[in-house]
Amino acid sequence: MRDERKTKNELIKELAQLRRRIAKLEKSDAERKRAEQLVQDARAYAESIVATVREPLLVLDADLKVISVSRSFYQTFKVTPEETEGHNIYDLGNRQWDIPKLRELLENVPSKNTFFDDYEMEHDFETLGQKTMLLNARRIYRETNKTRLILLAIEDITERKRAEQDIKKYASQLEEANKELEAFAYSVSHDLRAPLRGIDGFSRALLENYHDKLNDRGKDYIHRVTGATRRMGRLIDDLLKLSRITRSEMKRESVDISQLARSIATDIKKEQPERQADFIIAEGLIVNGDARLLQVAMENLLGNAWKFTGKIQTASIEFGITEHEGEKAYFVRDNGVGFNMAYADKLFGAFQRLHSTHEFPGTGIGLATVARIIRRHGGRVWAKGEVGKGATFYFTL
Amino acid sequence: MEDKVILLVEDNPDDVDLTLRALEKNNIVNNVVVTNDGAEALDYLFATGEYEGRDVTDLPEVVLLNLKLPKIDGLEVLRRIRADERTELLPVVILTSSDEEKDMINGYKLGANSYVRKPVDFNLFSEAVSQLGLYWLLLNEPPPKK
Repeated sequence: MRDERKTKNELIKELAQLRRRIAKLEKSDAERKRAEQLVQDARAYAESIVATVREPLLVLDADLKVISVSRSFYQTFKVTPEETEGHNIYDLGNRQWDIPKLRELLENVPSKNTFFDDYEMEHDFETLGQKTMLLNARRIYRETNKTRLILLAIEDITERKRAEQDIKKYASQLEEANKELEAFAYSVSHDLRAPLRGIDGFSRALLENYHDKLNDRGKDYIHRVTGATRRMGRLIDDLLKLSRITRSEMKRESVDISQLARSIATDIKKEQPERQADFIIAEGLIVNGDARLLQVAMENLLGNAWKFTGKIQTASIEFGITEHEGEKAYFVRDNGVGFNMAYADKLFGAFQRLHSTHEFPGTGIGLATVARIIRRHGGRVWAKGEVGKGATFYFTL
Repeated sequence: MEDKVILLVEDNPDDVDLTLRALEKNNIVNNVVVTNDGAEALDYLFATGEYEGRDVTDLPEVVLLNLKLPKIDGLEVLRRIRADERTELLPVVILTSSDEEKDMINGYKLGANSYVRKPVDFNLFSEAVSQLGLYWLLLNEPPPKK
């Protein structure tokens, strides 16, 4: 009977112990299941990232055997899992990865350097042809089985390299073209002027030394020759100035264009102090542009305004800023002889004039120069005018 | 003033005639030595080649130097003038068609005393030549003879 009682108590204890152990086991089993679930989740997460990444990825073990491959690797190199997984990297695709420099880099990753970046590899790939690849590698350390792995990322930069080479080629062609242009401008500067000087000089010599042998018509012809040569000289000078505008380097900075206009106006008035003219210049206008080129543009615009108000008693020349279709536009307005709007599109062409040289001197290059300068600043230039009432020239920068 | 020599270095025969005519018109009747290229100019100055035997110490009052010259160009002539002890102080006026900035900069850098652009208009050209003549022959003090 004592055994029975002992056994009963013991049984109850044992039962309780068993229950506790079962509960523990159930708990750890649940935990294990949860852990497994976490692992599954993490894995699915990582795999979906790897699968989405465009760059082909390889995971190699320390012996450089392929363990994992991203989907994009198969797509890019057009190979199958059977050909890739489990193989040594050097055995892949007809030994196309078996390159001494790459070997050196890869073999150091697990132990020594642990990574390399931007290794450029140019190769004639079997399935792809001639390509340039950019390789990046990192060591990954797996705690669970204490293994060292290599993550290898491959980027096809063939197109990028081609674009870079194209840019270099075009840049050097541009350089070449600019040099030719400079040489041309230089020879024009020198070679064309000399014969002109001869024509002018000897025509005058003719006039001076033989004037008693020439009748009025003869003298008139010679005057026309000298007049024409002088005009041609001015044309050459203006053409050269225009070409310099295109050739020169632009340096953008903050420019007080009001101050610029004021100083140009002062200089203009000094040349003909007897003329009555009012310059109305807006204050404090600051722009971003090349100071020298802007000066040339303003000299041309204000100079024109001055010239074409030459016949007006009291000239009025205004410089300011206004709004045009939502953007800021600067303007130079005068109350001079104006122009017919029908010819507005001819205004900015080189050597285009709307008045004869008798009425107003000039070669017709001023506005073409202004247009080129404004265009180099990325702006637009246009004009409004009325015959006898004046003209306004607008520009944006 | 008559014994002062002007050395004109000019390859264009028209320009030579026009320059001489301009000087003449303005009563500058000095002895103008004309050399038609850079090599000849240096031969004259250093008494070599066809000018062997000339007295080197007898330097011109001023050199009117063109830039684009056959054989040896103007800037090189200027360089050699400035490089030689005998001629380093010799007044040199660059007289050229070119108004290219780099020519001006190089000219001044190499030690030109003056830079004058040849105008197309003969009246202006004649005026320029006469002013040059009067300035360099009359007003300017030449370097003392060694």
